[in-house]
Amino acid sequence: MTSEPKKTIWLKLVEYHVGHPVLMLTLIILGTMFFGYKCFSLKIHTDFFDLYPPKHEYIELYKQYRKMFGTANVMTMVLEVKNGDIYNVETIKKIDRITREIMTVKGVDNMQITSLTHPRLKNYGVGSSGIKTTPIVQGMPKTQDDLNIIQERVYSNEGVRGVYVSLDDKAALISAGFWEEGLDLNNLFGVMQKIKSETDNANHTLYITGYPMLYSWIAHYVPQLYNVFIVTAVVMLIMLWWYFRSFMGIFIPLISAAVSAIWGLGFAATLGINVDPLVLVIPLLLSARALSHSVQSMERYHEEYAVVGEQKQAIIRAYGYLYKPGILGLITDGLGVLTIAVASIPLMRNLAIYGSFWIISIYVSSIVMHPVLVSLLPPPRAKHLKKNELAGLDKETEREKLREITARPGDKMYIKMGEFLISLSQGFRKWIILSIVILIIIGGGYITQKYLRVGDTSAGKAILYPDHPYNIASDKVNEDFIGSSQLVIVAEGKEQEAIVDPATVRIIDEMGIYASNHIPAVGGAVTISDMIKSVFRTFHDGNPKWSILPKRPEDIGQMLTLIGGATSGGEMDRYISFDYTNATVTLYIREYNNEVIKDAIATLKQYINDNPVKKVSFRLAGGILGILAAVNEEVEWSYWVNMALIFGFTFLFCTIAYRTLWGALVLFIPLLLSQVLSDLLMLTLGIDMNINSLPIASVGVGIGVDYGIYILSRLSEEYQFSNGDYKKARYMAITTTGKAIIFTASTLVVSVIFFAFASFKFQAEMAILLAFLLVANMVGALTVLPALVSIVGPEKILPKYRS
Amino acid sequence: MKTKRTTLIILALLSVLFIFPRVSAFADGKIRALGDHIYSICFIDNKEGWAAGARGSVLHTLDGGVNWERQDVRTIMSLFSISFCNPQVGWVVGQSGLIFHTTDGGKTWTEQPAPQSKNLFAVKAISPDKCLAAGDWGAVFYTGDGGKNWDDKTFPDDVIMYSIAFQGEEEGWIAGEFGTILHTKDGGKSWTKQNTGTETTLFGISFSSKKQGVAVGLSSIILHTEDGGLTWQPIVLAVNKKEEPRALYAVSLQGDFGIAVGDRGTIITSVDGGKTWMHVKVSLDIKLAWLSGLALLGENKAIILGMRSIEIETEGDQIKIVKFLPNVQKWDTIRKEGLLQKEDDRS
Repeated sequence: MTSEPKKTIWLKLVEYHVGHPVLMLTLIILGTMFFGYKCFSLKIHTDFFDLYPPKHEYIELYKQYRKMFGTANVMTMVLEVKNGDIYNVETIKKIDRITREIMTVKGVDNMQITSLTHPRLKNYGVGSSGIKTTPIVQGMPKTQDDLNIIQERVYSNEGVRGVYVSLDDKAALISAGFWEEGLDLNNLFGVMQKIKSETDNANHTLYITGYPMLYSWIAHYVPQLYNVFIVTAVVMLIMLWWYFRSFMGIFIPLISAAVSAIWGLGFAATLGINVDPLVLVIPLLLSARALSHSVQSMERYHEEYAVVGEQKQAIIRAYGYLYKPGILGLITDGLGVLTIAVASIPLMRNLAIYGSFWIISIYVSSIVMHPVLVSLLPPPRAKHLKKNELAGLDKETEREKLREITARPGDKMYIKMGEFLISLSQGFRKWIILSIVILIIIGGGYITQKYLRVGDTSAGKAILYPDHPYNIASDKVNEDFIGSSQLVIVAEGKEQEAIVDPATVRIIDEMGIYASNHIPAVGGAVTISDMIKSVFRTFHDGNPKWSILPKRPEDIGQMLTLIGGATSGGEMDRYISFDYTNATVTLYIREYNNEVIKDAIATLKQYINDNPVKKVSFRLAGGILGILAAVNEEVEWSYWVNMALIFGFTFLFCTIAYRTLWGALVLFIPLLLSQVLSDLLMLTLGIDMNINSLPIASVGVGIGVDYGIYILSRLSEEYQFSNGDYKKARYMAITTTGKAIIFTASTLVVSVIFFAFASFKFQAEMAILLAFLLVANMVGALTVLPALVSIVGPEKILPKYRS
Repeated sequence: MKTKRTTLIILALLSVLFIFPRVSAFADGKIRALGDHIYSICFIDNKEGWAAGARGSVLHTLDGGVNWERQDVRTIMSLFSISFCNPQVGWVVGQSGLIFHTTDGGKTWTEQPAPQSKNLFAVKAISPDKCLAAGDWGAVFYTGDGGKNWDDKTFPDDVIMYSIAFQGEEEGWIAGEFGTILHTKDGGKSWTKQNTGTETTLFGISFSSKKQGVAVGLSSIILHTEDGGLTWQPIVLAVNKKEEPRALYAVSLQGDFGIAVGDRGTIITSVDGGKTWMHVKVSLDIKLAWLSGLALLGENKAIILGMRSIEIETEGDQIKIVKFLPNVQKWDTIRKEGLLQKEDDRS
């Protein structure tokens, strides 16, 4: 042990770093200052367009036609009365006030605001003097007679009751669309809370739901996440002190984590990437990764110092040994995070870009900066071997002596845990471990493949707790109204005025009817054909039997011209383009989840296939549900590609680095095991694999790689020292490097577990998932990996690793 | 007339500023799109009857309208009128000249070719062999051989015919646009136009005898005759002056008792053979609906169908709504099970 290690390239690199402290630190400080400055311009908010995969056909459709049929980001408010019904002066005035206040909110599309008191909501009747149109609420009511008139108009209009007033008369709905680019989520949250506080009283409750509100809730919770970060940092400080019992033990890992965080976030800001609050747990994890590398280095430095008793030599030995596993770990981690970019969703791509850079920066903060900083600080005050203390001792006693001398008061707990884990990989137990591993990978893999759902159950329910005001509001909308979420199909004309063709209008009409009849979640359908029928009916004395489509193109054209002329500019765009070339079929869907959306789209695709039309082609799918479908489809395929790439890269790099397939395999199997276990946990807890959870799972895989690489490297060293006695090598490895892994894992668990107390259900679930993943990876590295080495044969793996 | 119609259209267009999905309440309290949209109803006795409506619906009841089952007519086009002459033989007609015929009470329906593809709004099964159908562009079709051949008796004027009434096999009336009433004494082979003194569209006509009859239509118009239509007297219906008079879409007269139904939940009754009528006060729930199909079941019971379906009872000159008929509304659910699929096959 005291012999000089071979002069590898890694040792030479460390010598260079430590030999040029001014140059190294100047470069790092300059870099940190640059990225630190950039950090001030970092934006932590949700950009809606970052959530959409831009090349997906549904998103292309949405972007192409969104100015025509309106934004998909619709906020829905429900004003409910506890006693009586909505037909009283106070309630009607409240609806009117809310409607007016919404009109002034930044980013709102005024063409998409509708409520009972909005003049757009009209009533009409057929009489001898023609058709009289009147707003449902014509001036604020003052008397009971006025209220009775409003109620009668509501009851007389097919399109109002159940849509804007609940069937039990106890709730009214107000909806407003917001443009993605104009929306200020914090402003929206403030305005909506003000409106709610002004509206709510003993008899009134305002419920607010819809995507704009969901994301404004998330923006509102961002400061709360900062508090979680602070608590996490404090707890990590305490844990570091408990473990190292020295200023250096706290200071160096923390500064490493801080520098890489500044570089990572600063890089994101430099590229103009905003950090989405829902994936904020990732920066924390990446910082924790820096901390983990740092702790391993510190642990090894303390060990080597105890052996050689001379600071510079100890630094070069410690960091020289760790350079290779450190670099390998970072490359596999970095590539792992980079593979998230296979999904074309900008949020994920951006995360992959700054996440992988962040990991590269760990090379700077831990592998380069760490030994330099350590060299500038006084040596540890820990005990070290006296000169010639090991002389004459056999290697086994020598290692034991070393372990004793490097032991710190905080170690006992971790060593006990390490010893317990060793016991699981010994003797016949290793076969039990192998059997369990095979069973879980095959059985669990089958179950998760079959049942793990990709995509949100519903956006609100995936992110916030069921009793959150947002979800209560969503439930209220679904219970009392036909549904606020739209799925839009565009009938795109192959020629000018394609919609004027009777066959086209007929198929558009039948598609709405078909969807209403065949898709259970469809609460209603609206198409231009409804309007044509409605006008055609009025052409024929208002007789309901004439609610049919004309058979002659000239009749349809005449009616469309009249409809266009009678409405203000752009008002009909949601149903038909001004040149009658394109039209829409809008389905109102409630209580949706990914399966419902997929089924609905499959049903519609089948219908479109079975009913070819000459003059138009139908394109799916606009509206908020089209966007969700696109995101889910993208997440679904990218999840499996992402996982395959991560595992593939890991296997490839480990094989190249250590030149043994067996070595790569024993690293790979615990990784696969923990992935299957985390998938099973997601299945058990009902966590969906969505746009937010996928990157987190990907980063989690990388942590497992680190643990395995560190323990395998140490095993091979100790295997050499113990003259091929694997049992002793395993014991030494686990009670040294293994101890640091246990500490690191427990530190990382602590770093994420406080998210379990966040107001986000999603963050809490991710915290549980990550904590589980960290523990599973730790157990995998310390139990399954040594057991597998033992079964395969240490002589096939470890000597090669050493070489 | 044209100016009036143009004004009507322009005003009507203002109403199309916002169109919404149709909604109706189901018995289970859940809301689903689309109401009943039943246009026509016919009962062969107090228990057995049929109803026809939008999207190819034909319904059948054997218990006076308590339960309904859907019959398969293999179309998703609107069916506007249904008529049976006995429990086995009947016709249903609809959009674009659709004529379907059954000889087994509706278990199977067979399409019969119409002379022209005009919309047919009325049908009357006079006997198992004889049937009349009428519709737009003055369409009047007649068959004397159970529908094997339909003769084109189209009226020369461009008039939409909406309703047919018969007393016996020979004498009958057709009511329609511009106050038109046609009369036949030879079972529909030839027709003469009666003088009604009005140009207002008539949607419904019913006779309780060969002499006494009533026709109803747009703007709450009611015409009454006691001489088989030689003279028609307008009946003034007391209306709320604040409101526009509402259209009446169907009427049924049995003896001295009559009911007419129409737009926005309008139900009026008469107990003097149609000479005087009074409004029935309805709940707001019914005001949501237009009512266009009506059948009197016995002396004091009626079933009314339309956008919503109700059963009513009368006590003397009083009337009360017994219940809504939720079972009727299930037809939308029943339809899911096969009709559209079959329609797809056909197309």
